[in-house]
Amino acid sequence: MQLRKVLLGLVTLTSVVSSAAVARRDEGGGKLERALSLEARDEPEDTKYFREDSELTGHYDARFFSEVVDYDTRLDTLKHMVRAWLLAAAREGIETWIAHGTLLGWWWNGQILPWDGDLDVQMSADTLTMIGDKYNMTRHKYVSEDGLVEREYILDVNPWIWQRVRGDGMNVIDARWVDVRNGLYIDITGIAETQPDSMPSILNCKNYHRYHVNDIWPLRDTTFEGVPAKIPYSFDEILITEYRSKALVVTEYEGHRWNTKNKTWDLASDVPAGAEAEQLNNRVREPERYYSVESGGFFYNIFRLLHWW
Amino acid sequence: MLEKNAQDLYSLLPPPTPSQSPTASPATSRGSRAFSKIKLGLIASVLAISTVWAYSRLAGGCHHGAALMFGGGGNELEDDALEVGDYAGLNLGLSERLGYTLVKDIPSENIPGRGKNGVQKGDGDDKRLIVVGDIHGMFDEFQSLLDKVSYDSERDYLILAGDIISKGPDSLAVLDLARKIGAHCVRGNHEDKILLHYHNIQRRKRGHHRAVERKLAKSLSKKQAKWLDACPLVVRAKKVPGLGQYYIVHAGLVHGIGLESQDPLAIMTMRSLNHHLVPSPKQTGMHWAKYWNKMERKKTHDHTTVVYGHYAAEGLDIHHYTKGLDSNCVRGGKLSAYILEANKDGRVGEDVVSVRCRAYLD
Repeated sequence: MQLRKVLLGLVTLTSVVSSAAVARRDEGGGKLERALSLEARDEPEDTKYFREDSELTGHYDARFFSEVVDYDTRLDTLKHMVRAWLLAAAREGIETWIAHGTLLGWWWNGQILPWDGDLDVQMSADTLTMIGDKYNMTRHKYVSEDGLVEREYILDVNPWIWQRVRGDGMNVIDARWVDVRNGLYIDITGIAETQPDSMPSILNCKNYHRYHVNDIWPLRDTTFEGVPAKIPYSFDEILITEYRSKALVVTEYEGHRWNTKNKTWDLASDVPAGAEAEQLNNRVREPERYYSVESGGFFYNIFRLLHWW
Repeated sequence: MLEKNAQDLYSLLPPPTPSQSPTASPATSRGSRAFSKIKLGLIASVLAISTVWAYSRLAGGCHHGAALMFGGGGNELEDDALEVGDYAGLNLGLSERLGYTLVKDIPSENIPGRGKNGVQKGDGDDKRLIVVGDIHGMFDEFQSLLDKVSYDSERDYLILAGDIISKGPDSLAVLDLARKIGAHCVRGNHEDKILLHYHNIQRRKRGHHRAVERKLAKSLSKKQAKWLDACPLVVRAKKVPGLGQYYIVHAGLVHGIGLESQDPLAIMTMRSLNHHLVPSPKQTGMHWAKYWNKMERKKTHDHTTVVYGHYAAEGLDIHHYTKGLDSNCVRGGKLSAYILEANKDGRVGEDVVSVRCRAYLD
């Protein structure tokens, strides 16, 4: 009789504890839901501004797309495109720096990673607003240094740039620098303090990448693909946060191998790429958490307690 | 809240059972009741704690993954797991691409024990190599340290191991004194940041307005900035008699990688290495100096010793092949100098001299 009452007490206690935990979680969730529903009401259903040809892994702007280009054409397009962007930005006084995979390419050898489908640059939200006002839909001619290559690019700013949070995920890219010949492009994203009160000095781009002001500024001067470029102050830490330190170590990736002599990524047919590589990567991926002691879970702990009592 | 729960539970308890045995006294029954109360309180708190703990394990994950692998003993890791091939500094030319001067050599006539005539037994040699750790603008302390080691610009080769300026009260005065007495320097993370701001200001580029470093950057004169800009990432002393090669850097180096392949930013900021030997400013993981000593001990000849600063949390940290000099002067620790000097029997010996610092920052 007494034991049963004690057990009853135990059950009451657990329910009180867990309901308290659940209740607190619900509170937060409720807020989030309300915010989401507000946004949903304000916006039309299909809000995506930039359209890619999604069949083609999303690396072409649909308006300028005619056909999928081959490996060499793509590399050639991207190299001249990023040079053109960096030169044009410097000429016009637009503060921009390279980011994500493009920054990783810079780390390795100051060039783009040949398997990268698109390029990423960033700027502050203020600069983005400025180029939206001043340069939207402007066309820019480019002649390569040796005079042999002539290209034309369009700077297209997403009209959704005022929305500094991710929203429905349809407009995470703020602007594009598009090669009008084939629709390949550079992604331009703005970063801004989205919560200056609760998280001052924390910058966000819409894709949930988060930076501290001091990780970005003061920017460093360097060169990329042979032209002057800027990179974030703490490029090491940004790269390791975004790609883990393995990205600074692995010398075989996506069908390419690092050539230690020439310091270039060369095509290698024996290095797996695509889905096959993903599988292999999954297999050798390191565990991300280590446990010294098994926590054993909640019910096991109750059992253990009762047992030893 | 816990206590309140326990209180609720007490009310669920059966009332004290009236004693069946006529011999049982009321005192014992009160005693057993108190005992069960304690038991219940115990069980309630243990349960609650274990619940919270289990949930936090589920939700929070484990932040010390790397520390578990490398922390403390560090011996649980097999040597072959730390292949240098892993992070072989594949990014050749990074310092060039960032416009840094990578390395400057100390002229051989300034290296103790390497005078023109060599060192005769019982003679000694008056050349000294003096490395001073993170001064951080603590002018008075720098001055008294120079007095304490009786610095003489004629015979001594003085190297400031980075973070000469910033944080402390008299950065510019320290700079001017260093230039006046002919000190040499390596680039620290604070010089690096101040200089980036300085050049942005010179080009009238808008920087981030809240950066506190801009104030100091603005006050730099052209000559001061030029002197700082010329500080290399590494100062090298080749062939110190009996001791091998010496590198002086601000933060550290990854063992087994040539200077030209080291990440220049890491040279100014590193504290630890992860299991790929990738350096990081974080304190989790293996101290790069620990790995350096471990690998140097395996060598039979051509040893290289690194003198560095930057790691105030470790304080003065003197090992066989690494000499950590940041003894946290700016926060009331000490300002330390590492001295190499040829002694009477012709061998080069080391010495560490420190002075106390006022606590400028808490």
